[in-house]
Amino acid sequence: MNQTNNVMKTRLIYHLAVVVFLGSVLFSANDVGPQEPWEVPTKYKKMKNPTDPEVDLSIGKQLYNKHCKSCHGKTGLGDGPKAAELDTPSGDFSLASFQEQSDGELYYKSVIGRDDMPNYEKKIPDEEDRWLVINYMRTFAK
Amino acid sequence: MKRIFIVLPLLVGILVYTPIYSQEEEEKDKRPARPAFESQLLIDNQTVIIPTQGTFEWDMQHRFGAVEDGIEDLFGLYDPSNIRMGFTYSLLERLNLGFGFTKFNKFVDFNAKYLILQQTRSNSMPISVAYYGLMAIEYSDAAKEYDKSIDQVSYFSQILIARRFGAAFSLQISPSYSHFNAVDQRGEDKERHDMYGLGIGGRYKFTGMTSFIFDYEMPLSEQTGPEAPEVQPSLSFGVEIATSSHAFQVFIGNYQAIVPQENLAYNTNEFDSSGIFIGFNITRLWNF
Repeated sequence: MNQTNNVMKTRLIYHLAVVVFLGSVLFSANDVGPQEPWEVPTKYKKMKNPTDPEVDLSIGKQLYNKHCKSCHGKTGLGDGPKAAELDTPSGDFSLASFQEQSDGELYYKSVIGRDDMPNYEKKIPDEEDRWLVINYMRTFAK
Repeated sequence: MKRIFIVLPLLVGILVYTPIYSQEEEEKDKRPARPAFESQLLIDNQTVIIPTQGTFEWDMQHRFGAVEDGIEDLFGLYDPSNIRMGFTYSLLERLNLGFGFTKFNKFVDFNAKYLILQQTRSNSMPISVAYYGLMAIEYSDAAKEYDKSIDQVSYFSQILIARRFGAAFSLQISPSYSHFNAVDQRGEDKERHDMYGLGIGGRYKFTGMTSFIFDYEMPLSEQTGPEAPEVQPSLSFGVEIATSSHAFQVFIGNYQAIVPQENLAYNTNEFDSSGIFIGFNITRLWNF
């Protein structure tokens, strides 16, 4: 009798553990909160974009498609196929609140990064190429 | 062999003297040209690319069986396949070191690549030139029976000469020299110690991330030996998809050995259904 009780207890604990595990997976997957505010160093805020935003946009587009599109989406809406895996929303580049930032601020967020947003200094080693990506991101403005 | 003295200067001349048609023409722009290729691999060959200093790369190279039996073995997918797992690290901005393991004949290889010249945007240096060297040690059961362990070693040296003609098109030529320490123990059809070869490869990018790629490898030496068959050149072509951290290449070709000197010295597969293989390369990059 005691043995049967022990078996039932073990099963109950096992089922509870499964429910707790599945529950935590389910809720953590939906736990994508708003973005924490960025703290962009003054050095970057004041950075000047040395490129002509009209020149080499196609190169900016190619680099954006290669490095950014999978999370940020084809038109910068934050709807890329990998966006759902992120802990933080990847932002909507078409919004005025995004576009009103200085080029330097976008440079810091895009190239230096933090947490989910990886550093791209080594992936895009050429300084000009980084600015071409920023120029292309400007074309997403509504 | 004499052909190389005509073909090679001609090809290098084409690379050096063809005007760049869609690249920046600023006169004193000494900055390096943008990369000519998306990864270090071009099907069965290397490229002049060396990833940024501190980059660790994992190369997965896979060649299925011959496509000749069609649907019966799913075009070679169910046949025994050759696999190489390679790892490289960019120790310096221009120097890359690596090692790898290949399934067929149980090769272990060590390799190095050094970028000697880098193409500039102004065209003051019209080409990129790199040296690639690979030493392979064979650990197959037969090789372990060789008289001396040094007999299991072979070497491959290559000069890679590439030119990025614009955002879409790049071309590379690559003369090579292979040396086998011991050949008399490898069979009567394999008696040559030194083999020369020439590769021509390229890519044409037709979307931002997708390119058509091709590679042609031409042996310039012939095997000697009483039963020596003709060493066959290789033609391969396919598609490359490059992302931020990966390059995926899927192709068909008639090389299956993966280790370059094995291909150049001993390939007898012709470019017909009995000698064509489906293959793929995957590269994964980590930056440190």
